[in-house]
Amino acid sequence: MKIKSLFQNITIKRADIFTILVVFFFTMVFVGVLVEEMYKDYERALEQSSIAKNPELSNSDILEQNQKKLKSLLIKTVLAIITLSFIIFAIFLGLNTLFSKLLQRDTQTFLDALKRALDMEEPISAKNIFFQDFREMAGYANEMVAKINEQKKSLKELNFGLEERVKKKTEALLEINKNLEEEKIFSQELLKSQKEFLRYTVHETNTPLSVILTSIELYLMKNPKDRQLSKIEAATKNIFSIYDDLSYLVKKDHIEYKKTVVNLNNFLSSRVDFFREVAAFSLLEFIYHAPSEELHIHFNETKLQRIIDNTLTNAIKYTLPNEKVDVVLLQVGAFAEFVVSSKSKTIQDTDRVFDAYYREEKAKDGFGLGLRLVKSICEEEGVGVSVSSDASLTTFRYRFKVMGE
Amino acid sequence: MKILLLEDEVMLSESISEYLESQGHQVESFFNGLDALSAIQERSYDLLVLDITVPGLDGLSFLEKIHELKIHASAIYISALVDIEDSPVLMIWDVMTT
Repeated sequence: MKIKSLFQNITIKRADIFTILVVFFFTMVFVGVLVEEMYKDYERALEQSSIAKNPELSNSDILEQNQKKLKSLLIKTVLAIITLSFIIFAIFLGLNTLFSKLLQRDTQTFLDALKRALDMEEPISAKNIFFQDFREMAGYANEMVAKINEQKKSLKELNFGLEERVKKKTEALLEINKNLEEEKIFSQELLKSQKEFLRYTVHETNTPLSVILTSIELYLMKNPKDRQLSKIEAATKNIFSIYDDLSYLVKKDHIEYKKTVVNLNNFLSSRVDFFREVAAFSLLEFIYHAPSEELHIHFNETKLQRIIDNTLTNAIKYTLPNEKVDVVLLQVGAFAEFVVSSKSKTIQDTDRVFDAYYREEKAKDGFGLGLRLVKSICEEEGVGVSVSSDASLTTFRYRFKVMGE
Repeated sequence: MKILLLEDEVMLSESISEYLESQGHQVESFFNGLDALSAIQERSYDLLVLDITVPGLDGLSFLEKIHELKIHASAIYISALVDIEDSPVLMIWDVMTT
């Protein structure tokens, strides 16, 4: 039972020690047997030596006998040692083979069990393992495999949770995307509707405005001009200017504005005349300073009219009452300069007056779109534009490239 | 000058007609393209003032038809359509006032 228990807990180290002890034990046994045998031989030799003292034998006979005996003793001793060596070797070899086999078997058993443990989550059984080392390793391996399995399980759960979360997040994102898409379509529809509304408004406003202006003109051909009608005309011209801005905004993206040769003197003069009465109703006086020579530019008339009209209506809107508005056209080198100056409230931020919806005086009516439109036209057409403003004068200056210069 | 005016907006038609007549021209007004086509096959005109969107036969088709009929006349288009460069109503207004 003890031996069984000993072998149940045997380790490689113990097996090595056991082998050494066995070899040592058997060596000692054989040495003991040998010594005993040699001792007996010696005794016998001594007895025979005593016999040899028999005077009947000569000394040389005795010496020869002793030599023979000693020779025989030496051979026996050598044979015994060789035999002993073989026996010890055989025992050692046998035990070594046995433990090697057991070690090999335990290694294979352990590896198979470890593989099964990893693949099938089956714990390693120490039942068929001989060496204690492997049994301990099996224990550690089981703990390790258990931990791995546990981590695998939690990882799986985490992965599953993550998949679920990703799935839910994806669904939520898809929903958001769908809503965004719907909102985008709605916004596009809204924008489209707004554009359509603007187009329709512009279209529908054109005819009545034309009728009003034509009727005023026809009336004035037959009747003297009175103040009330002049006010109607001035107001209508203001509306017409706003209409022109809206019309330009509606059309500008899908219309090619062809350039023609424009006599800037005549064009500017006609626009100043158009707004002169409007200015008069704001207690302002337009003073047009035309150059002696005619200036021609290669420009689109619609765009040019938007620049001039917006600058003039802006001057009418912001110039202080009872002031004059100087409208100057002059040639500066290769450029024609169109300059509008008047005394107005100082513009605090001259860089921002061309921004969309920017208005310094909130009390004044307006969309804040006119000068933005002017700026975009100037940028498109390479017209230089600058604004300066102080307490005495606010000046808008435009530079057009003159033809033939 | 004998002018054919095709414009379905009554007020505008009246204004244009009145203005042209005040300038010494003879104006015949039509509110329908087909009526105007019938008239031009019977009588000759020196100038056609045509709106684009009118009932019966629009101004563009009207001009194509008279081209097919080999009737020659100068024409001015007027329209409030925002897709057309330089709104022709304003154009005619400019013509009338300058």
